Amino acid sequence: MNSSQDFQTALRSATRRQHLRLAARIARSALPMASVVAVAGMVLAMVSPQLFADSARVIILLLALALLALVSFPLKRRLSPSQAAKALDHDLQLPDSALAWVQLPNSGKWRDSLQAETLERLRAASSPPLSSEKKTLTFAGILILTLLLGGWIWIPSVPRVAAPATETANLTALDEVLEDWTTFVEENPNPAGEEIKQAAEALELALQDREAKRSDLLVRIATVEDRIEANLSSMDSLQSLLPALAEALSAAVDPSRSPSSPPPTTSEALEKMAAQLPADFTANNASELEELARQMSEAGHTALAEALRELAIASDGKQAQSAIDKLAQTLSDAEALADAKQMMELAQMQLAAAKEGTSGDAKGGLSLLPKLSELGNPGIGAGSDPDFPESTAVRNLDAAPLLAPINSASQSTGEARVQVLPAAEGLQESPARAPSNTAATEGPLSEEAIIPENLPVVHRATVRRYFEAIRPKIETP
Amino acid sequence: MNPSDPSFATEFREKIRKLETEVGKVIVGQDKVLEEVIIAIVAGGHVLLEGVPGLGKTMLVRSLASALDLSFQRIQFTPDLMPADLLGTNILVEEAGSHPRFEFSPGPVFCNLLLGDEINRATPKTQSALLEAMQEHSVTIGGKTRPLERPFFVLATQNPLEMEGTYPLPEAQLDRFFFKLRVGYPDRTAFEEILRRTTEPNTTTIQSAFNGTELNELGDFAKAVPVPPEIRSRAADLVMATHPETSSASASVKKFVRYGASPRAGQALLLASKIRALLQGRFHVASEDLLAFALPALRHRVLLNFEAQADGIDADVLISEICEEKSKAWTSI
Repeated sequence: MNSSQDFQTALRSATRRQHLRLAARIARSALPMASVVAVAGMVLAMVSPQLFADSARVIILLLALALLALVSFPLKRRLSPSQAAKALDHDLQLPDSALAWVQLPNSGKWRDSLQAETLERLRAASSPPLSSEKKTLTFAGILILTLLLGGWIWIPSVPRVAAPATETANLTALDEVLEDWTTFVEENPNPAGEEIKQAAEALELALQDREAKRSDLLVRIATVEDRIEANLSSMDSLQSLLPALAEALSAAVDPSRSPSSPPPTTSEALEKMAAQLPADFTANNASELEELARQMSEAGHTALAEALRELAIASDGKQAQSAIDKLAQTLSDAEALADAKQMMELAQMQLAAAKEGTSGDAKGGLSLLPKLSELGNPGIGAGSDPDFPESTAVRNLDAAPLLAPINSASQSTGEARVQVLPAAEGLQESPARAPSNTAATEGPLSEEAIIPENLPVVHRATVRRYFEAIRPKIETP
Repeated sequence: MNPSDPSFATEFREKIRKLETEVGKVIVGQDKVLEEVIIAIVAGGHVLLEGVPGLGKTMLVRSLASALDLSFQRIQFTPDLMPADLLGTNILVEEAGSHPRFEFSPGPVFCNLLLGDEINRATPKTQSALLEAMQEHSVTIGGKTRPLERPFFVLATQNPLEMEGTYPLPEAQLDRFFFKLRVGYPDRTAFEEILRRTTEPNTTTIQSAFNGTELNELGDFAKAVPVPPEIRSRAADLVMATHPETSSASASVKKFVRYGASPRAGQALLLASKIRALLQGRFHVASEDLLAFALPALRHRVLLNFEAQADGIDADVLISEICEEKSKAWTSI
């Protein structure tokens, strides 16, 4: 190896050391600031996960990347020969020997003497230790890795942090739903609703008990779900039988009724039957009523089946009137429960979500789901519009879904604004307002709803997301 | 000594060391001053030595003259000293059988080594008589220019300016001094040695280290030392930093300096640096050489303003600040 190669090797080594030194210097300057910002971001994310979840993630990512870029930038920097020579002189405490080697003309005796002298100095000198730089860079590396990997655990979307937070949010939302439910059952008393209410109260008690085991909660939720499932299936079967029941009741008092005439509702049929009931009443279609009673009995509607059988075998008006009263009472109970059908369907979804949240697998919170009162059960629970027209059991059972466009009067009251667009599958007519107009007013309306409300800061983002979730989507043609 | 052959560097060092040793036989405790004086002489420059009386300034110069085997003249500058006393004059010579004629009688300036003792006690007129001799190495008297013998050096001493009966040297003459050296008090050990040597029988004799011709050769050889472009740039940088009108001047320089150093300062810096490099066993000039000679080469060339004088600011302080600042800047990559 000749002298020039020795010198070039020393230059390369000095360049590497210079890079390392620069990187360490930058890391040393940047680390305190990065650490402070990272810790602040983590604390904020822990204090209020819902508010700072996204910002903490962005801050940590940007911080780690910026630090990485800053520290790695000098490693990519190319040094000119003079700069490398200066670095070598600096490292080995040479009196500008390397600089003179690089800058002086490459010929002549003085140059030869200079090279000999420089090589002698190079061999005699020992490279300075870079322990402090290495320590700094190691520390920077650990911090970057911590930010990128370890620091991630502080981010609220990570299961370790997210699950308890989401669970709490879910249970809070479920609590609100159960309150709505209880109110509804109190206003619309019926045996089935009462059962559900009792199950719901048990669940609420379990929710309030923070010490309760997660498995207990799951069992209670499952119990409520079973009750709701049973009621829903019962309501479905009853609804499928109601047209036939109305037809049979009409035919029982009016055999001349034309089959092509519009079908009456059950209540209309019962009212008409009670009005036209002769003293010597005998059912004209006893066999049909018997068959219907059998179907009702098979579907689990024993009270209705019993009343129908009484009507089928009634031999006078008095017995028939008694059967009709039982029928009306039973139907009234069933219709009252039917009012809660939509609520029960929604409650099913909410309970399923709550169950997922409770088991720690929730992807989203219950709070994202629309509340009962906003989905066709006006007058129930917080956030409903008091001016919304009351529905009746019969209309809910037999008629098309109720559509109530928002007007300026209704918008001015209540905590939340509710608008049900007349959809094409509803009244078979065009909407009162174009979807684009609705969407345009939805944003300001939701803002208007949130701003004056005394919402806890923690829930404000949730409420906002709720409004965004229910905002009508505009499909571009 | 062939300037193109660096192998003479060892001989160069040996001769200089021998000179230092010979002068060191007499001068004690002024090693740094001695080295700087020798470097200035090898570079062909004049030296202004400043210090209170009794520190061996005159003795230093006399010893150097002895060690260099040069013709030596000493002038005691006084307020009534006239230029003719310094340079010489035409005198009327009357010889039998011939008409009286003027004949030039050379003054003490016609020598190799001129000691101007207490130069600031003479009037500016007399002080300025040395200007031509110092720069052009010649003297013009009666319309006739007479060259001085080479080598020619002026080693002047002066008392601090604050002392009574002194005249500050004009800037033009100050600029012609290669170095201005401040002679300080020796340390205790050196002081005891001085007492011993001067109060006991003294048998020390100074031997000639080399003669004037060799001195010229040494100077020519030193000039051949290569200077990397960046080091030359740094020398210019250092001198320019004393100029208050430049953008790179520090706040202190802008505030306290009236005029910065002249190009002669840069020349002195580089020439002295070359000699120092050789003495240190190097074949190139380094930044540390420039910094080592910043004070002696710049301090008398930086003209401070009234504010600096009023605040008691010394040029050395400003130059040291500049050196510190530049040193940091030069080492950063």
